[in-house]
Amino acid sequence: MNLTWHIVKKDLRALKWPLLLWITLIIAKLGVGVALLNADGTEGLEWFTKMDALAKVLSAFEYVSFVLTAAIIQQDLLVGTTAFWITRPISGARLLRAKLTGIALVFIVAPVLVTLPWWLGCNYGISEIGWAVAETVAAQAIAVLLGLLWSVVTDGFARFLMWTLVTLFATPMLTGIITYAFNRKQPGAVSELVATRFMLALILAVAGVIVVVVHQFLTRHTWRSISIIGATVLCIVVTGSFWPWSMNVEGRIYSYLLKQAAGEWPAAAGPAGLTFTQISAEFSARKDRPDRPGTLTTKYRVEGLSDSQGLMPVMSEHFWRWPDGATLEGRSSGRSGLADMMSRMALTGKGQQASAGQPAADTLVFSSYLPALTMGKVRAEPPAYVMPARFRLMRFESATRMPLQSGRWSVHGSYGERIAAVEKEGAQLLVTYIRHMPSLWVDNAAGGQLAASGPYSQHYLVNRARNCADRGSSTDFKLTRIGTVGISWRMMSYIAVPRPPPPGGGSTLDAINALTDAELVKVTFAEEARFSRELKIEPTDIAKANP
Amino acid sequence: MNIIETNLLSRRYWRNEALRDLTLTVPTGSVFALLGSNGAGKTTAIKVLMNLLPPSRGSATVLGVDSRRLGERERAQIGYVSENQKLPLWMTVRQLLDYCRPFYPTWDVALENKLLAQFDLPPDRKLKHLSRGMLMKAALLSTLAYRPKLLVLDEPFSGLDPLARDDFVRGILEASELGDWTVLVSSHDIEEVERLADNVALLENGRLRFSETTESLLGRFRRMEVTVPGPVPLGAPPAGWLELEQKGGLVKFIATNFAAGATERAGRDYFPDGTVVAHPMTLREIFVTLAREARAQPKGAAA
Repeated sequence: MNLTWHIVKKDLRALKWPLLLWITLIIAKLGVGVALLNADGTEGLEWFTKMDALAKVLSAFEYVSFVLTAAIIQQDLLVGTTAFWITRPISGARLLRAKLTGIALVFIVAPVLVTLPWWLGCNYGISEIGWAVAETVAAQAIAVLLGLLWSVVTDGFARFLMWTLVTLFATPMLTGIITYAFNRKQPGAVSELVATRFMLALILAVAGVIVVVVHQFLTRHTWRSISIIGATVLCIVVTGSFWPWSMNVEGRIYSYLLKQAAGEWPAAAGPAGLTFTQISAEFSARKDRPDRPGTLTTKYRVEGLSDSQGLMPVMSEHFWRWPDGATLEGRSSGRSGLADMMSRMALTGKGQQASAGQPAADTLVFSSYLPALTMGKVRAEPPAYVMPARFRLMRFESATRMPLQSGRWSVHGSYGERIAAVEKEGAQLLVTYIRHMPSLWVDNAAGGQLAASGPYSQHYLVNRARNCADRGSSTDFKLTRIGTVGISWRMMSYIAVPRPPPPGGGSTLDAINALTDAELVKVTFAEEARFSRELKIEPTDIAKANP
Repeated sequence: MNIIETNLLSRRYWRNEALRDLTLTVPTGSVFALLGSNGAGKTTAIKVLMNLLPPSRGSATVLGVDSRRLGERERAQIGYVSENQKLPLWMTVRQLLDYCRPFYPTWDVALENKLLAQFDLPPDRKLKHLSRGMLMKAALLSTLAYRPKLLVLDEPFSGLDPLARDDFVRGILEASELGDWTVLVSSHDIEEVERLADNVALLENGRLRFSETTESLLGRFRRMEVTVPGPVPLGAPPAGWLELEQKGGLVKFIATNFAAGATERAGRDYFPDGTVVAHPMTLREIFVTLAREARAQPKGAAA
């Protein structure tokens, strides 16, 4: 291992300036993030947009790692007979170990270590850091694999660059040709089949690169390695064009992600006395195109909540079960009337709705996406629909009057928010919020709510004299993503008169004056419990709804 | 005991056979010169021996191991210096030595320092800032310091000016006194090789012309001069006579199998009235003679 480290150190020393520059670019990108979080709100959206562009440029430079990978590999050329190392007591296996160690140190350990303070500063928890590290590694792995492919079979940087550029141009062209041929032959092809073919092609590409790299390091038979590349490309083309079986890749990925989140979700039926009554179940799908995906929208009435409680549905799995035991799975998202409820509570200023005294009821709407394959099977034979829906039971916590000035961070977990600027403009109150939140691929793919935890808040401009609580509308919005952290800049426009104005009510002057009576109120609901409830639809009802 | 043995070793580049059926032995402890004109197959032979290229046919053993299976252990006992080798030019001389040192259990730091002083190399200068001669010396230093059992020098004098060449040869000669190593050197710079080699092999068009000790080679080649009274008709020369020519009363030829007395006798038999004088030849003259002869022969007849 000492000799392996010795080679690693040599490579790092040889490339210290480019590598330092690369790390500096990552730090600079994080610096942009720090600047955005510390903005005082007066910079304006244009500034945020410029900073976002700068962050994107700096992020793009991170993928220059494919060039640096090649530079590390080609410190000891694997092609030709003139390399220094091949006449020294260094085996191909040892060199491979050294190069992989170097690459791992530079493109995995270094970015993670550099970004770790940023994640900690944004209050990432252990699990979020784990996912962020996985994402950073995955992003770099793509660049590294691209760098590895041609650097091991070319005899210099110029040829490496030429072949890499050829690959970068050829790949989309090849994909386009396959897609064109595919669409001509099978118009309206099933998207799952495309996803399956894409996934298989990706697996083949990654496996091909790994085989080429290992083979070239161990044997230095360049032409054989190039033949392996050719064979891999051929396999990819054949698989991409002719693979006949769908593996429901999308569904499996979503299902996996949801199962990851389900670990944090207790399998409980929820508070006693809570009843769910199905109101409707409707499919939206094109009758003339049975090969297209569809959506099932279900509505439920929920009773048994107290007047200070509300439900927040979280992304859930659903299953289609046929009598013969066949099962297909997918994901569903839901929404409730919690936002309306909060609006009413902002007005009352306490944890009761305007209609206090009456048992509260809520309406839940779920949307279940059906890929074309599932849709086709559901049409052919209606199955039972089962959804172990996940909920957060929220309870009113506070309705706090916010000072109309820039404020401190309000942080819960990795979600943070602060008012950056407040200004009055005519009848409007303009409030600029800066927020940070995890923006992980895994979470985005799974609906962005897997990591949902902690309180849920909304701001309202309340004018009690006019019985108006305005949730505001977004005038300016920009979201940037820096080191897996999403930073948003949002300017909300609130008006302190009912929207739309009551018939015959008020002049412009009146509306401006209304702002003086109004106050900005932050309504917060805290999580009281988490539970899941199995919601079912029998095959007969599915058959009735079947388009 | 032979440190290198090859058996019908061949290497083909597409249609061109660069090395054909090379059967050769390099005795342990010798300084073995592989001679030949450009494209004769010297570098190919060395690359196959060093496992930088796989042979198309035949086999070779180096340090008793199949050349295709040379591993870290064997390489730790082989030193290789080539004009074509790409050294890590970003390193200083000191960094190069520091980098190489841990790979060799037999690395001799005292010898390294001695050679560093002897070769007059600036330790803190980057390799890219060294002259070609200095660069070759640095490469040589990085291979001699671990006292390799086998030192392979592939065209080490190419591109060196006469002074640097002399410097480099002197370096090898001085270094050879410090260790007991076998040297295999390929070159077409005959004068330099003559100062070094005790064994010589000649390659022509990828084939081995001969392989013998330098002493024996220098002993069997002579430039013969026969003074005759007047022009004599020159018939077919006896076997082993090359470049037979006549200028007035002087006939010259080169005897390739000279034996004191016998060759002179043969000369007198051929020119009964002549006076025969034998002049020793340098390795360079022998090489040029053989090269000319090879060129004069129809292709493929060299064998």
